[in-house]
Amino acid sequence: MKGVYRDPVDAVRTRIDPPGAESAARAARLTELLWELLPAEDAARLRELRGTSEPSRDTMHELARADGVLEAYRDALDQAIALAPSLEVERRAVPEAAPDPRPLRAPEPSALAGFGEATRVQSACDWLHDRVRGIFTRLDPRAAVETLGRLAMRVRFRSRGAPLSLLCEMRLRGDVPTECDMALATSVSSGTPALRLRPWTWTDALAKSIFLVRDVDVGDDEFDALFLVDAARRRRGACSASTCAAACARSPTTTCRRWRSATGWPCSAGASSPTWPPSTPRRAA
Amino acid sequence: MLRWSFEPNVASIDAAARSLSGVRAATFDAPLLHPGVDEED
Repeated sequence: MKGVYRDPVDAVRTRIDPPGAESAARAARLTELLWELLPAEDAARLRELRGTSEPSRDTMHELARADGVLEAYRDALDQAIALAPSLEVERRAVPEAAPDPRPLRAPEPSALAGFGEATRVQSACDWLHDRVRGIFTRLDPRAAVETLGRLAMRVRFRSRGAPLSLLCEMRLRGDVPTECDMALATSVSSGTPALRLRPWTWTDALAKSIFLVRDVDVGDDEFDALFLVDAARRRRGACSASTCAAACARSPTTTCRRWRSATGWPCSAGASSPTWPPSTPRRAA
Repeated sequence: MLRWSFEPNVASIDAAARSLSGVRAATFDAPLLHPGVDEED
């Protein structure tokens, strides 16, 4: 009768192969995004267990350690997978309240304004207040109009189901009123990627055709034709859930001059940007 | 946040509101889980 010898390392290796394969199958289901969204402690523990459960295949010591943690690793993976639906719901939830755009300047004119200028400023401010109130009697009669000062007012209103916050500020050059700066914000879900708004170019059209860029159509044909809403996946914590894409455009008769990101969204600027609303609608290639 | 400067009027504010509400309603598909072996079939 032949003596049977079995290498103990081989025996342990054979024993941990099935649970190892199960863990690997579970681990393969986790996307990079889920890793980012997992609570920090859970992610750290998963990483630690993963490191221990994937040993060198040669040493008895490491194989034994892996044997001891594979079950815990599999359970932790199951917990992470079970957490995914609630994380998905959380990241798709859209806050009901729109954030207020931050004012660019003080809401009251300088006390040093001369008498003549002060009269002009007052006249311009009265015009702005009357104008904005008049606009919202037509757009949303239930809008909440708040006067922040003679130079600024805020309107919280709804449009097409979305809560919006509009900030109107009279801009002075010296003491002379020149233009109205308007900022509009709405809330978005925390899962909304960072959005970068920029004018369409022929290279964008080409890139979109081969899926190199992700464009978001907002449903406004003129807007969609002029601007590429480039949706790069947001880094965790890069901006709050209650802010939306930022763009700063000049008047309809001039070009976009700059992008403003009062809330930390990516900015991009181009002197050749198209105007919006456009005077003559253009279509993307 | 959309920030621009011009004489305020109904059409421009409404167009900006329409576009922002469109962005707000847009969905961005980024799955948290790859399909399991059973789900791939």
